[in-house]
Amino acid sequence: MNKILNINLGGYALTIDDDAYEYLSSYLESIRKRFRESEGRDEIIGDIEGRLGEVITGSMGSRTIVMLPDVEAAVALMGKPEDFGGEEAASTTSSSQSGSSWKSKSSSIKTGKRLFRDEEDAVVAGVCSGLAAYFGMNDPLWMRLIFVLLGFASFGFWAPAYVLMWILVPPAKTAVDRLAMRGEPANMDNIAREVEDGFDRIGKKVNDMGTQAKKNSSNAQQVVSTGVTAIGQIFGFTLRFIAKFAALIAILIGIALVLGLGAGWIGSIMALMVGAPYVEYFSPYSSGWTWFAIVNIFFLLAIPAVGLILFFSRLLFKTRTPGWVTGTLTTLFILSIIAAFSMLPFGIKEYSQTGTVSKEIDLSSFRTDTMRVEAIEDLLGQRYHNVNEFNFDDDGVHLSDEGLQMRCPLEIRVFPSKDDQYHVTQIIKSQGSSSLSAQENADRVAYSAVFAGNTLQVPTSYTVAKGEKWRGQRIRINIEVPKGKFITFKENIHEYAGADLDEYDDENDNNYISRRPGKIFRMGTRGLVCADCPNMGDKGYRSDRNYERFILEGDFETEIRKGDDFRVEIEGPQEEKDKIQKIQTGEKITFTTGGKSTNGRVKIFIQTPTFTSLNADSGNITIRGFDEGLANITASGNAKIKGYLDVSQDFKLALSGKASVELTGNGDDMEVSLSDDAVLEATNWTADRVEVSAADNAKARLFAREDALVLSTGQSSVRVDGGANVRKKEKEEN
Amino acid sequence: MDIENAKAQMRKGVLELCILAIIEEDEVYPSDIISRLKSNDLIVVEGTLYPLLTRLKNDGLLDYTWRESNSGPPRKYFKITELGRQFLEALSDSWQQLVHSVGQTINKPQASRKTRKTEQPPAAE
Repeated sequence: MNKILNINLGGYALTIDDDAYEYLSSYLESIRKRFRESEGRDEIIGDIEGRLGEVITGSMGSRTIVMLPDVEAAVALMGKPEDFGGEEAASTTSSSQSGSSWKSKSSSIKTGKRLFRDEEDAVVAGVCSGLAAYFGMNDPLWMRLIFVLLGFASFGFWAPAYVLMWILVPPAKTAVDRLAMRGEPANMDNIAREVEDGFDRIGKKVNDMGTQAKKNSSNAQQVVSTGVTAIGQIFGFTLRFIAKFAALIAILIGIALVLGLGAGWIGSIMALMVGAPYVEYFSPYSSGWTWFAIVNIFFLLAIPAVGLILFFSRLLFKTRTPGWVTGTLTTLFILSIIAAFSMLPFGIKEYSQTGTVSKEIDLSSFRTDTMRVEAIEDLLGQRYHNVNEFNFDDDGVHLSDEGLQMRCPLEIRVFPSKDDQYHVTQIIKSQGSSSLSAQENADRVAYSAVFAGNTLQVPTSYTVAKGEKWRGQRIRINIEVPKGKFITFKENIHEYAGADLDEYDDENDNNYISRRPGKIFRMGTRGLVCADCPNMGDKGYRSDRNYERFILEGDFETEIRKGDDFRVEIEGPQEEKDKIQKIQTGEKITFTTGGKSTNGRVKIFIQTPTFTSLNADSGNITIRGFDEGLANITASGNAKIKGYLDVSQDFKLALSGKASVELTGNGDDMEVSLSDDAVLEATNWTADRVEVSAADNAKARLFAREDALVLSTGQSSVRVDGGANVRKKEKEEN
Repeated sequence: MDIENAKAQMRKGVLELCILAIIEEDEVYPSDIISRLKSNDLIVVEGTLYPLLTRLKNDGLLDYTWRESNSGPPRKYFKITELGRQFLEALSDSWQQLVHSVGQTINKPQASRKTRKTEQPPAAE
């Protein structure tokens, strides 16, 4: 049993069987396609319909229902569309491409939309213009733009996709192809078949050439042409093999592309989950726009991934993507790109202007001739080190209830002072959309260097308060040092402030501050000069062993400083130098004039890795740069000692005669005994606990933070600053 | 296959001339043209005719009128225009020339055959 239909075929009323109708309508559809670009298409079809109606009616006789054979007969009379010839150039290709000709009423008649490369409108290979045509875009420019953007966005990983399509997608060679390129959506062959077909065509062409040659050749040449055909066949076979292999690789590349994009997407979701609390501080946008931007970025990443998946599933499994899906995706993608490009300038603007806030640091408590600079090592990256969760603390960022604590870019510069005072200026720089807002951003950062004792304490992090924005705030500290005065940087400052310390170095290698951590530098006329760096070369005395106890007897000047190895250099006129005797015993080394005078013209430089004791009876002595566990200084006669040293535990001083000692540094305990006219000036030596006994006319000034035990007899005077608990010692205990 | 194709190409070239010649004689409707052409072996499938007619009409060489038919819907009757007539003259002149030249070239030994079938293209054989 079959359905029947009533139709009007070119003016003839026909009652037609369902099968016959199907056949007839697909035939007419093929004619419609054939004359798609012809001017008088409707007229031609009208004429053909009329003639078909006439023929079919004529063949009916007494029957009333048109059956399939009637239609087949009429169609045979009328001929296949590609045999019509005339208007199109298609006839030449249709003979070689027998596969696409109208033969059966199966799906091949509905060639429909196919993806072709449009080589007539190509920049490289016409992939973009082909895709544009496929997606119904009027101008391939947009598709090219998308490809270029994807090329940049994926750092070039998009290029293989282009090449892949170049290989897989055949060029639109014939008019029929060009029509199909813009036609309605339809099935697509899978990748393997596509590639194979492509190579098949070449193979076939080669075979055809062989055949052609065979036909054109005379008998004498027949042998040759048979050879050509054989070669063509082998060539075709090889191509087919290569095609299969290429198809496999293409599929693998496709899977890798999809996986890569997917992995990037998942990775960025995870990064967002971890980084979400931080984003607010760093985003150039307000909260709402920040999340909009993030969503936008996900679209930019996800749409090509989804598109690729759809594309490959279409090629492989012949799944059809509804037009509205591709439409929506394309629209969203274009909107995302537009949004990204329109938001970008605002983001950039937030960083376009620079503003600064300067603050002079109060140095009123500073009294000595050496400024110490040290970094306050807040516990970023240490305190939170073991917290068992994701955080960026190790990288110097910590999020707390107060806000975002960050290690700050720190720059320290040293200049010569214009007057005879030290000056320290702290400058916070920031970015902002205007210079005013940049200044506000700089002002909002919680940061302040402080001066305490003789030390400038430089924090290495600042806090961006909750709700405020990080805008590249950075800190610069300008230190002005008066000529002839000293500055020293604690080792830890180099971790944070780096090479900017080199600002005022001269050519002397020793004066590179960053290479000489912990050294003392003097502001000279040409900038900073290392005052306690070993500078003796090979001319000095070099000992096989080290000495750490020094006995100085004589009116020469001595400088003891820390160095990697033990060296001694004696400067002065030869006749004076000859008066100096060296006596080494055990760890002790003695320099003595044997009671003679050098007339103050000899200077002894001693470089030593360690220093534990000094016994001096005259002369000017400087001790620099030591950081020892314990030390013992005995001074008598008219010895004058200047000491820049830290002694962490046990520091014993015994002063008598007219000896005077001036100390800078710090440590835990200090035990001092003074007699005669000895003077100790140690207010710049910060101790925790001091024990002082002074007799006769001795004078002592000390600085202690915790305890001070004082015994003062005779005319002596002892003063202890620093807020320590001062107790008097009983006389009889002495 | 290839010989068929070559024949079809040859026929296609002269089809316009023949159609114009048929229409010049009398007003005709397509089925008449088809039967005339078919009887002379000039076309294989009818579909070839309609695009040609449409194009000749669009070029102003032909014109048509609708006439009632007693066996079906109204039919298009074609007639030649003045332009078509001039075109036909020029075409048939050049055709005569061509037949002569081609005959001279390929049929020298059998000149008798040529004279016998002057009116028909060689492809008809």
